[in-house]
Amino acid sequence: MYKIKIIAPEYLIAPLKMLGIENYPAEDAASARAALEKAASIREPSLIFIIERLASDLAFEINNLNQKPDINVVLIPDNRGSTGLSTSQIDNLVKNSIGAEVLIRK
Amino acid sequence: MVRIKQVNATRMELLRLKRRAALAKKGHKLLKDKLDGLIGRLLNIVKSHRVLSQKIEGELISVFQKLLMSSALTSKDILYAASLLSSAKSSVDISIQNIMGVKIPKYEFKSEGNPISYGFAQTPGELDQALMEFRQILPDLISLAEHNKAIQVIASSIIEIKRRVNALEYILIPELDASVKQIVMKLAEMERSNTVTLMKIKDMVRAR
Repeated sequence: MYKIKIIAPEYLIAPLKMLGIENYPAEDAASARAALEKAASIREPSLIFIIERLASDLAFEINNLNQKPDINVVLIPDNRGSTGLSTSQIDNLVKNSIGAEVLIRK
Repeated sequence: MVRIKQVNATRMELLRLKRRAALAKKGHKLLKDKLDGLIGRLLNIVKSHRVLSQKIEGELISVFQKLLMSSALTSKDILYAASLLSSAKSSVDISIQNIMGVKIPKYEFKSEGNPISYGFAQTPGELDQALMEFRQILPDLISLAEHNKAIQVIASSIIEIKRRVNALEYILIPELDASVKQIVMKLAEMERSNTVTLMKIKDMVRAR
């Protein structure tokens, strides 16, 4: 059993402690970087959610962490909506691996 | 251009190289089949990831707005006290599933206890709604995380397999084929030369 971790500004995630989710409050890129390091430093498989607006400056760190088999950093939208970073990250991965972009017809 | 290695032109070497070439061709076919299978799987996962992320996006925005409202309307101390009172636990169980030799983590969401164990007098209604809604979204969020990791792992193994397939297809197999061809030609040449020598010896013997 492993805890679910979330990195976002405190005003968004403070109540989530009541659900048993581990909070790592961060207001800017520097504090998000520190929070991400702290969340991933524990030597156990980690599932970390981070909001896209904070993750935009941490692409390198997130990519490095996602290379590890037991760490999964997932980007999620915040109250202002998605920035498209998560989708573009997946699109780039697919493009690099199969050499083509995937378009899904609705 | 195919690089030809210096090889001993013997029948033993020819047999060995032929065996290696057959094995390389078999491996190449297997890897190509694996690559096709993984690409098919990846496309399916990407499709379901898109559907899931579109479904979750709206719900998450609304939940975060409610969480923002509840944080704004409640003092930090009250939120802290409420979190101490809560008996709810959310966690994930991680197991490994094997897709065509690629190991992908599988998450199983577990939750227990009631998150709403605080008094309603000092907390806004948005807090209860946000907590219940976030708890409802969590299984989908965990599933999204699983899809995310699966895409990353499969994509990197596709890149690795592609390199192997290309190395076999464009380097090893042509090299082995060229070496086999070279040995066959040399052996044939040696045989012809032997035949000529024998014919000459025969003529010399007949002349006597």
